[in-house]
Amino acid sequence: MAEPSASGPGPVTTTRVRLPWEPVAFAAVLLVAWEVGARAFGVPEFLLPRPLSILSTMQSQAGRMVPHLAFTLGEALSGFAGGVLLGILVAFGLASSAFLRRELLPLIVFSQSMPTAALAPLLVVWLGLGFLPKAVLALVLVFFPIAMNVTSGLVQVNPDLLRLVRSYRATAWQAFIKVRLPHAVGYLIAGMQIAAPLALIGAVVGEFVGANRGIGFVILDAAARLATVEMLAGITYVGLTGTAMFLAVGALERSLAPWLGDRR
Amino acid sequence: MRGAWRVLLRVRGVLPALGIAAWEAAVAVLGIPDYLLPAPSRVAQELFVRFFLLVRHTGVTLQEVILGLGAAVAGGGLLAVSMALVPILHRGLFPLLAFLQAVPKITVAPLFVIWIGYGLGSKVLMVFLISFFPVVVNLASGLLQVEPDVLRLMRSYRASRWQTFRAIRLPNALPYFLSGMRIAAALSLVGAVVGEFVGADRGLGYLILLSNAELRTPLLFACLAWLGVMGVLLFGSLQWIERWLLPWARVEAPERRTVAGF
Repeated sequence: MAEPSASGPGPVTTTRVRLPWEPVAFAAVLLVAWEVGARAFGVPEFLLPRPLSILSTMQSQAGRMVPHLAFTLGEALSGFAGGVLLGILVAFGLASSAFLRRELLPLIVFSQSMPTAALAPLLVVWLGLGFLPKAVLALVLVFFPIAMNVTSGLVQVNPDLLRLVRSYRATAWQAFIKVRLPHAVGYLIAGMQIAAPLALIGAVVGEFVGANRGIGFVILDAAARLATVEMLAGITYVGLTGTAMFLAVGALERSLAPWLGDRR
Repeated sequence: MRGAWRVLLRVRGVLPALGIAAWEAAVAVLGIPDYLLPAPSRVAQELFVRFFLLVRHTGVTLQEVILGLGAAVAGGGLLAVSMALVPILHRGLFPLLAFLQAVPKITVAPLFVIWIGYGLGSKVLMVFLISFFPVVVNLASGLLQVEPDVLRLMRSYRASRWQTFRAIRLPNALPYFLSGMRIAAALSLVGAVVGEFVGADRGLGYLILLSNAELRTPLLFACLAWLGVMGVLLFGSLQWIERWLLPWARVEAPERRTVAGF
């Protein structure tokens, strides 16, 4: 769902997260304005709850919501792991065969323009209302950017480097291990950074369509009762989780591929 | 026999075609019921029979997407330009926006239904919210990531801030903006469909959920096919705009072709 290629002058899909004071100040000002504005104009809580009441609901409902959140996180993470593994495997296949690339890459590119999340109801028909359809939807959403990025990383290697290792009589296998694979690591991590929030989206959208557990179910259930405060508490939990997943991939990048540190 | 196989493998698109044939055969041989997995021929029939129904709901979704995307471009463009012109806005907001990109905004969909109801508005707002971030972040990056030497050159010509903006920053930002639009276009469809999942009485997302509830899986597949067509048309028109706005970006095109065809 995000830009497939991690090269070129194109999009900034990942940004190194530092916290200088300005954005913190901006966020604080916005939140205070929201709190004060909602109080001053007497906006009813069911329309737009104030930040403080969202916070206190997050606290009071933690006992109920955190287990649901953990369930959703389990769906997202197992889908993420499956999608990354499958994506890497398919990318290896695509990188090794020009025939497979010619036949399958257009399909993968096509999938980037397709709202894959729309598969959610179909997965409910096939796999029921439990854990599995959400994990599979997360897997599907994660698979495409990973397959796309890793294939690009394995294939778009500087030809001079390949010529160099060939001049050293490196075998195709050695060229793969020493040149292609390290080159693909950066692409893999960029893909994972795109995919981590997608995994969570897959799990939550799956729960929107049919579930009786998970934070998506909690949000939709609160919406049906017009319990807007609870809803926003749930949404904030999901947001925090998404941010944590994103940051975790960033940390993984620093330990797996420290040479990428100076990337834009 | 082997020779024939060889020739067949040289035909472009043979693998997807074989896949579809295998799907058709599997459904027929294994006797898979329609509601579990309709055969491709059954889906094609549904596409034909329900043509007008599908077109009507596609029109609704398309309208949501276009209105939402338009609002995202207008709002995002305004914010990105003000960030480019006012440094404090950039320093304060840009990291915040980049940060918010990782937050699954789709979860807000039920809130929008509470705010503005089951109609068009809540989906337009969802599409706007979800496509706003890639537009702003990419456009602002393009406006700001200019060669410092070029800026120094402009300053040595005594160019005003506005002149620098027009002559340097804006052209520099176009390719970034268009990649942002590509991301936004894909996301906008997701926003519209999930918005319709959460509460709607028309649109492809609604029709998907309805056909799902009635176990009319062939219709569900037909909806997915229309969604795919919409996605391809959106991407295609963006590519066309790109070729029209950035004829010089052809330099970049071979590289992209290497991604697709190597």
